[in-house]
Amino acid sequence: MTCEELRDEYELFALGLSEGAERRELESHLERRCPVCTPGVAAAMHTVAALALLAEPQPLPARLRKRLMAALGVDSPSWFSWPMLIPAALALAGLLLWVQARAGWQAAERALASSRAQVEQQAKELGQLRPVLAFLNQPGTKLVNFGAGPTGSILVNAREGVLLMASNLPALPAGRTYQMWLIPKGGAPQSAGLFQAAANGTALHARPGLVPAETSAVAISVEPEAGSTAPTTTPILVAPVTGF
Amino acid sequence: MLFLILSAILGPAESRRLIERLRARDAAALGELYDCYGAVVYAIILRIARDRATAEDLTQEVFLRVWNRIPTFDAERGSLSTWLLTIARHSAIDFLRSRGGKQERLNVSIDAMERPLAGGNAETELQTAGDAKRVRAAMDRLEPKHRQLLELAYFDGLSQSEMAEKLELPLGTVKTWVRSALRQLRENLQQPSGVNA
Repeated sequence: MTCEELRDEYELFALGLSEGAERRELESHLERRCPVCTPGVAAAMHTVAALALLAEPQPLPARLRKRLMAALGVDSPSWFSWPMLIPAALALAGLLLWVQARAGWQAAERALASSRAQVEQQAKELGQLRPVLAFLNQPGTKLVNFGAGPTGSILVNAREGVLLMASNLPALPAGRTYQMWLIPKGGAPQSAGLFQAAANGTALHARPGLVPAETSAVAISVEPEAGSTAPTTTPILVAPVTGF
Repeated sequence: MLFLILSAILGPAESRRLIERLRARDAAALGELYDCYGAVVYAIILRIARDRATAEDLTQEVFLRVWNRIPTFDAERGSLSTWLLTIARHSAIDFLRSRGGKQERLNVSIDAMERPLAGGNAETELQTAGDAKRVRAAMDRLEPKHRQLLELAYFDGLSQSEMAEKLELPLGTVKTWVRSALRQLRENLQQPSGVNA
């Protein structure tokens, strides 16, 4: 088919209504970057996208921006900044994992207490670890270690949020991401944000804010890159959390 | 109310800088994109999904998808706003269709539709306040039956067969009307509307 014959197909394609031979033919033109059809479809997509402006304007919920920024790990509670936490918490995570690998759970607990003293010294020097300490020292902060496959720790504070520090996370294929979940006892998992692991398999992810009292576990699953409203794959990690 | 949320202005230079910052993983840049287009994205998703909690979830997902996909976005080949609004509509319609037990998605894959294409006015960002008036005026000049079909296709994500069934019209008639509607809409948008753009 000629470009002229496909002209009426541009907006149909942009709307998702193009069908059959015409659609295949147009896709073929686009594949070879046809100098007529490519800009034609681009303009049609621009026109169709503008139809979004017909939607009745709605007041944007103020919490939505905060949620979005929280999913990126920014825009934190006022008394500390989560991004400030990252380098400090990574260092702490490394320390925790090292301790855990060497001596197991009880030794890790002891080493954690010891590490706090070391961290305090570093905080004085670097001025960065204060938020971590503040989190760790919050009354009721619960430390949960996990191993087998992904290893690491989860810090849970009912008032301040959840901090995940993990290593040995598998590399994900393109278009996939990790998603953290808070799982209430007998209820549906609640998304606690998306995150990616570093190339070496480590990750630090924070979900600031109140943690529902009925939360009984923190889980990690692999999801499409835009995230899911409920886990769509078997979680690679389910860590019970109680007593926080 | 309209002017309050349709007031985004993102010129070409600002758009380019914003894209560069997004590529540099500047989270504040995503916040600025949200400030410009969040209300439009939320409005279209709410119109399609008809549920505020779902609209909030999907709006967040749309911006996170932009955040994750920005490395593949070619700023020289299309506008950020077109890309963003295309993703928003597809996300909402996919939700609608999955909720309705329809496993099939839009007739064209999201990847293909969300890929920016070169040329035309595609590099021009939607200036929401002016373009909203222009699009409304162009739609108002359509025959009511044509306008209805475009709204069913755009906001309900109906295929031509589904529109024929819903309106109890022959499929051939729907196809003819849809083509006429789109042709007329294109011409209306190209004409000086007398509305400040």
